[in-house]
Amino acid sequence: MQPEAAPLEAVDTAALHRITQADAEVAEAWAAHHGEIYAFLLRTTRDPEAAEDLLQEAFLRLTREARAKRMPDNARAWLYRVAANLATSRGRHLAAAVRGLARIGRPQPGLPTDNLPEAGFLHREGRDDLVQVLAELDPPARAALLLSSEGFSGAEIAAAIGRTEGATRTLLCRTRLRVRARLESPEAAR
Amino acid sequence: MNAHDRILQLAAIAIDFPLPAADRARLEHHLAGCPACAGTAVALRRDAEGFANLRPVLLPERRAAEILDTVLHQHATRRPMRLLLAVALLGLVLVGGLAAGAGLLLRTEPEDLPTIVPAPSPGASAIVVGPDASRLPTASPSLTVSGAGVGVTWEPVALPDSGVRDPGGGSVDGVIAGGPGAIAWGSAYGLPPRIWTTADGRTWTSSTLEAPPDPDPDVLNPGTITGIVPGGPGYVALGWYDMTGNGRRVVAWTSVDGRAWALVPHDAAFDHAMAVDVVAWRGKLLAYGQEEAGSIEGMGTPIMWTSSDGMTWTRDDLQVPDGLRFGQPVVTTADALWAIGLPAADNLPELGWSSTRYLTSTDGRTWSVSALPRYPGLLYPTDGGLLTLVHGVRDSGAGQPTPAVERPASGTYRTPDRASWEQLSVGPAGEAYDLVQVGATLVAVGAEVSLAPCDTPSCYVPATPAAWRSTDGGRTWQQALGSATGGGVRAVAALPDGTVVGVGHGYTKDTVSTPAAWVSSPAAP
Repeated sequence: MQPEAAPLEAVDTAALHRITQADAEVAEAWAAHHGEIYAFLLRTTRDPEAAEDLLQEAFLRLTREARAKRMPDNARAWLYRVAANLATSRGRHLAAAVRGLARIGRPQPGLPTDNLPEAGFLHREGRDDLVQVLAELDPPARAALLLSSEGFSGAEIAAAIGRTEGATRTLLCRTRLRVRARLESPEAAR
Repeated sequence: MNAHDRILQLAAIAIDFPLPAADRARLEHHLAGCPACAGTAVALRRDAEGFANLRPVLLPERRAAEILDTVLHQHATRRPMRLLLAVALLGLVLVGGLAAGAGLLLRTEPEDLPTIVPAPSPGASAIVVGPDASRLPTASPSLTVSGAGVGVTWEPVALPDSGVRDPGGGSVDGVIAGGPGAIAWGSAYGLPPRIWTTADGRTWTSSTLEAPPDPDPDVLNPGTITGIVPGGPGYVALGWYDMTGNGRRVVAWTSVDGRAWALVPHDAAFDHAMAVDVVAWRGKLLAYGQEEAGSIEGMGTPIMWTSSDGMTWTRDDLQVPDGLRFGQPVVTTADALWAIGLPAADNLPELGWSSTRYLTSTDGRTWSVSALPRYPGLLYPTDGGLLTLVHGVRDSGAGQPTPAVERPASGTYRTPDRASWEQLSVGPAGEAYDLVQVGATLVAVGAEVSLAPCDTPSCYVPATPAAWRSTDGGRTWQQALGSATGGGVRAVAALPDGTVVGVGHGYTKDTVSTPAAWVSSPAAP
């Protein structure tokens, strides 16, 4: 009926306007950050499908925030925090999309690196072992290292992986020293 | 630990955290006079730079476009006024519920029964269309699907103590038939693992499991339940905890009734390990996990534990084929156990489901590679044989410097000989995460996902709870649950009277995932 058309249109228009503006903000964030967030998720989960799923989930959440007029001031940091939490929570919650792909076991020594994607870009002797060492870490340690490599502070890393600053300090310290020890070990020299 | 070790700790900490003035002075003074420590400190910085300079990995452009489209391409359809207001509050079909655990009851009239449309191309998944050219569910008066049977109608139910704290959210991760009717387990960010039980699928009670005496206080979610099985005095739950100091420990609990649980006294067999799956098979409890050992925290030797009573466990090594690492979950059939073997060479991004193998064992300890081709779906034993449900077919690898991974078309598959698969159907339409057989009916649960731009009469709602049923062994499927609110049904179990319960997660109005449950009662005779 005609009298009802106006209220419907008013609600519709306002909502659509808000969505359009928010979508533009999300699209901008996507253009700027989806690549690095995907890379972070892929290196943290070591599962291409899981990385895609979590990337989508992270930006879906950003979209919800944007459409609710709660666009984060620092979208990049916000996305990393959500992505890190999704990735490190994944194992605990046995995310259905990645069930059956949990990694159990120790990688064999002497991992051939020639066919690694990074092989052609590794310009320092022994750097290919970083990939191997990264694979040997559990998700929180891996996520913490990768977040640090993206320039996040210790406090930001702690918030992203759901630990106190003290625990994160311990985690990163221990992880870095073990990485160094691993790289200096005879196995790493192969 | 000597002075050099302490200095190197400071050097490592300084990479990410500011040091107090006294510690910085001590560090600089020591490095100035100790070439060995100075060299290591430089190497630590170089390692950090190395991680920052790893070659970027690329998301294929086509896939990136699909994901962005999924994220953005949601809009309202013409709806009655009262529903439009509800839709506007929902943010126009975005994943974000109206309230914790609240979903829209979806029932369809016979003429509204969704139609399963076969996949239009090998790279797409089956789609669902509605009679009004939109698949967006309606909150208008409930309509009942005609026909009796299991899993026909569903409704969300309230779970007690399902509140969560941002940002981790929570979920219910698994459910089994048992206890008063069903026993479910899960967690919420910052809270201990939780158990929920129900006698009828509608009313649930909750309890927490006693934590071991020294969980790591710095980890907000130190404990996880990985599975519950019948055994011991009634039921046995297995999980793991982050312990104060270092490492993880497997933890076990037992219960007579599934409601009240007792912590199994500490067993050294559980130290420095985490269990990821537990099954009851041939009168024994078999738990599978990994050892935390060596200088690098994380991946360890695959191991298992066995118990006859849930109280005393024996730790043992697993025998898995060379070049493979043991994966989860473990599935049992009458004559064998099944698991997933992952390649030891962990080359990403080449690693994917096609690099994995099904492993099988007749004793739980010694595993061999099965001739059955590995498909990207879990195994479900049914009266009709072993099934797998393939979903979410995507073209992966395009644009990447790796071979494209070929995937089978979405659908239901059965193995007639444990060496090959035959496709029974293209459904269920969506991502199925679990399946249960109740009588002659198969009930699958999971989520519907946004698959294509909403520029056709058919629209898609991303990641919303879904359930399907099949009365012909998986050859045809009918969707029985759909929802406008986000989330997914992760696991399903059937009560003795045929009531089916689904558990998983939903979303609060603040878009935090929250434990959620649904129930489907058998149709009245």
